[in-house]
Amino acid sequence: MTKDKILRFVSKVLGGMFFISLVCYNLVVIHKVICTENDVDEIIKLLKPVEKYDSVYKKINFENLVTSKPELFVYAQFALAPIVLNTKGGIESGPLLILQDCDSISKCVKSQGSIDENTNKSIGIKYEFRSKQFLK
Amino acid sequence: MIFILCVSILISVVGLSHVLSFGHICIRSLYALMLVLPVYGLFYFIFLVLKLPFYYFLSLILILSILISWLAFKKLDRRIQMKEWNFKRYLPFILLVLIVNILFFDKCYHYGGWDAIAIWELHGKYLTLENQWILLFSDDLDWSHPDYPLYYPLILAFFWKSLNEWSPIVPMLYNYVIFLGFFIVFYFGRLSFHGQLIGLLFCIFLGSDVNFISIVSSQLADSTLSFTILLSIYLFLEINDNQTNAFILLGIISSSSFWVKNEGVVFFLVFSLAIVIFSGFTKAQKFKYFIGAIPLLIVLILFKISIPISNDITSSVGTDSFAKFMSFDRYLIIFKGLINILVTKYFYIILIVTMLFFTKPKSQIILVLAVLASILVGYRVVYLITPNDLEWHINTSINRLIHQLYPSLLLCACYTLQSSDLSQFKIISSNSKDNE
Repeated sequence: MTKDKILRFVSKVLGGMFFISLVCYNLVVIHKVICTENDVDEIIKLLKPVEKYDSVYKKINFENLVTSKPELFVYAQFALAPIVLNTKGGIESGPLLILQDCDSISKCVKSQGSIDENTNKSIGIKYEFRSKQFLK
Repeated sequence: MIFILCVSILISVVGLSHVLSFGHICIRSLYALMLVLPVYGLFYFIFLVLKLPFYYFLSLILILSILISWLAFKKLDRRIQMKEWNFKRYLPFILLVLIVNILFFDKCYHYGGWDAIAIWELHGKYLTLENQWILLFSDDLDWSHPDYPLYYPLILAFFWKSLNEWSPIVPMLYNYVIFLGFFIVFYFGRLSFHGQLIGLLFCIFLGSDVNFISIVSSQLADSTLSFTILLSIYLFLEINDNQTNAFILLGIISSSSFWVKNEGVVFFLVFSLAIVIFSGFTKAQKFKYFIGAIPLLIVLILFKISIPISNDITSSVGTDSFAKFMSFDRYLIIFKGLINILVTKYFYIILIVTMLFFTKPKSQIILVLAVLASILVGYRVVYLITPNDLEWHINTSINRLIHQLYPSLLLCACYTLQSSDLSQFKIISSNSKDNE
């Protein structure tokens, strides 16, 4: 083999290795972005149980939330749609869901209860998000 | 269901790309995709309004895709021979894509940025709900801008509906396709070797622009608008008298811009005005352009009439608008905002504009530059009369507004750099097409 052929072979091998490593790194990055759940996924999961009440309650009072962390409101609004969140104090039946301490979110303290369909009160479901840095 | 949807879209795109008669197959596929997605979105919307089941919609697009492929098969008088595909020619592009993929997905995250969730994906989610989609136009939804057009939400909706879940992968992949589309236009836009070399250079510019990648990965509709503007301008620069169906396509693509975002109306008006007055198109060509634009124009007018929601900007036009218009301070704030964004995030634009001053662009390029400058002036007028706090409005939107025009400006620079071989292009183009 001439020196030229050896050089060509080595460059092809190195080029191939670079190409394969680039493809592999692509797959790693794509896998990471698909699998990494963020705050939006978290809030969607947390608020999923509320969806079943949409036939009773079309509006949810989030007025505490909107003052301190608007991002949380937007995520909740997306998670709960088609239930319309109302930040304008228009709810008649009392708050179904109050997010407290809105600068942070840690755990969802959920107490099960039933809805009094006659009065539309005594919800019995309360979510509290506490103590964990919500966004960064 | 997602399988049927994807196969139908794929067949339609492949079929349409063979019906179209200009440029490289990758470019034609892009145009076909940007034709198929909004049209299928409109069909989905019609079926939603008529309360027809989703599988009716799937059946329709399957039938349509078969029809398109049959049409393409009839037109196809040559077989694609794999031997003629020169893979070495595509190697730089494949390498570039692999690198920019990493940059894109590194910045990407589920559901994207604020506007993506608050506006586009929220609208998309409502549009998947057969009985409650009308709530999308509720006044109670904050930050949702219910007057915004439905191009992007409808695409999300029919994909989500076929998946039966609101997967974050859908907006991510859609925006990835748009992201890739920018590079395809620059690389495959010119078929000559010289053209591809300059195209590759501009792909590197685009791929190294962190701000550009950040905005596209935020999954906002601004990137789609930016892409439709780029496709319109590319087609305008490439169109010639022999391509009869391209004038209709130009009308469809440029009109789709206002179905993406309200800002698209400014683009469509300015671009159409430029075509009518300065383009040098014949009457028949202008007629074909407007024939292409009319369907979406009707859709937009019907949408704006039937949805009684006023835009926050247009509703704010009143007695104080004139005073705002005459306020020197507002001009100063806007000018400062513009300079600030150009220096901090769009340094390439400063370079391009400087370069254009020292070159002699072709008359068509000058016309496109005038269109882009007019759109920018139009945006500034909106800032002048905005009911919101001016500085807040500028800070939250100017980056995205420039993003809408940025790739088109790069395209103008790309053409100017290689204007010496422009005359040869059309000959090379027709020869190369035969070789595909």
